[in-house]
Amino acid sequence: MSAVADWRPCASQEALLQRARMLALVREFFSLRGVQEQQTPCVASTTVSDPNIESISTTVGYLQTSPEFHMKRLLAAYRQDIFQLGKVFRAHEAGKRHLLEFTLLEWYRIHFDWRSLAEEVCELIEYLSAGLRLLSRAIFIPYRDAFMDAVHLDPLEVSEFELRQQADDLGLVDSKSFTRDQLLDFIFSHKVAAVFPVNCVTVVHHYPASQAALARLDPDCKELALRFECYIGDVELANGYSELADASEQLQRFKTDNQKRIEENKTPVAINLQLLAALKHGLPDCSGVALGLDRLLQYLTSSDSISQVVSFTGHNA
Amino acid sequence: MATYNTNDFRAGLKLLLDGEPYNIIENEFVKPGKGQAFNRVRLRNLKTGRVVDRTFKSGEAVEGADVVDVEMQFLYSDGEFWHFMEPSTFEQHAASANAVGDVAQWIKDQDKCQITLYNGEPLSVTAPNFVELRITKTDPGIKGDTATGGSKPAVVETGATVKVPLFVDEGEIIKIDTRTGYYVSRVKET
Repeated sequence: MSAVADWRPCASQEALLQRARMLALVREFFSLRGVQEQQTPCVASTTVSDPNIESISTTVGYLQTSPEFHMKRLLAAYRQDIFQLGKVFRAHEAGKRHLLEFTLLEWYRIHFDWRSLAEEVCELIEYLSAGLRLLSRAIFIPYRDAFMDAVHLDPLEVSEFELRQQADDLGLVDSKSFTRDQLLDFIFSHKVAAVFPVNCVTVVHHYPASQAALARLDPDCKELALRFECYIGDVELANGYSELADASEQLQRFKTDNQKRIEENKTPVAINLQLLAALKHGLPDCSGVALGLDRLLQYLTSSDSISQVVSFTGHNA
Repeated sequence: MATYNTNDFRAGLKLLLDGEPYNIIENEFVKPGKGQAFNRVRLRNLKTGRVVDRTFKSGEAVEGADVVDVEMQFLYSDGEFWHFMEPSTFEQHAASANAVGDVAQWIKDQDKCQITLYNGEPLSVTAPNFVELRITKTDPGIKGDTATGGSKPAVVETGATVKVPLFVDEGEIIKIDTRTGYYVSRVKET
């Protein structure tokens, strides 16, 4: 028996109403602040080098996993605060909080440091929650402190052996095959974030330099990066940085990523030369953040699965 | 035995972990922000029954366990082993007292049971949800005797003891829920 997937939407009418409302409120929020809405391509000839993200290729290019590179090129050219409600695509991501195709609300603020932007993220979440969920004041905590509070180990100093033991205790299978950063990540998501309060935003900041992604390193402490993440409970909602503007350092990070890809038997990706050229021209001093809009809506509507807040998804799109 | 990728994980899949057979109860895909994706899985040890939580790196290969559920007929017990037969192949399997467990008290010959085979050997036996057994011994219930709570013990043909209502007599056939061990109803003999 071959069943035809249901023609009906995945989300209820109420959930879609909330979605429409949220999109309108996002636009209102940024309009009041002079942040311009822009749209960048969904398909391009290059893609991210992050070894943990798998891009989908089509016959005409890669589906973009994030609008970051295009938005930075816009920033370098026109120096205007911008935001985007972008559809992004990541292969093999499907679960209660993951969709192959999802919406990232991404925005950049010139002359904002990471903290000002993180505060703006909290303001936005509060703006969007009005009438749906009551949130208490946001908590700001350095990555290192959060880790030590929950695990009683210093993430910057602890040995790989001890990390592996922690991971084993938490039920990680084959912990020997994990790198130090992967172990930190696993422990953070399973033990540290697991106890974050569910009625307010927790902003974790100053990630270890090895997990900087595209964030600038802390000039006062090169072991740390000016990267932050916003959680509500153990749900990751946003990831932001004081953006890296140095072209040569960006090139170095691309190379390191590719090296990791090769080590993990993944194909390296072509270096994004246009981004490097934009950085060389000059990226204004800015901070940027990407927020998972579907996940935020999932939280606000208390939906068990992310598929309950999108019109159609994977199995019946 | 086949190897599975974490992408294949779903409830009901049988895996080999630390040399023991497990059944997946729940499988959840988890991916922290900029990191490695994981599969958070809840599993039941098919030997001990214990439920554990384990996290696997997404994309990893995991060994499957050779576990199959086969419907078989109970033949007889020699006290040490309980003998079952696959009705289609006539193949016989001997299940130890450990594998049979509590089920032993409910089954009589010809009864159809679900046998879980691990590497070809009976790992556990599941009785049908309901069985009908004849009462071999019970006291006649005295009408109005509610001091005992309206029930009395009865021994059935397999040797098990069940609490039955006072109006049920010796020689009658009763229906029992094997999952709880409770009397359900009388069965009319045709």
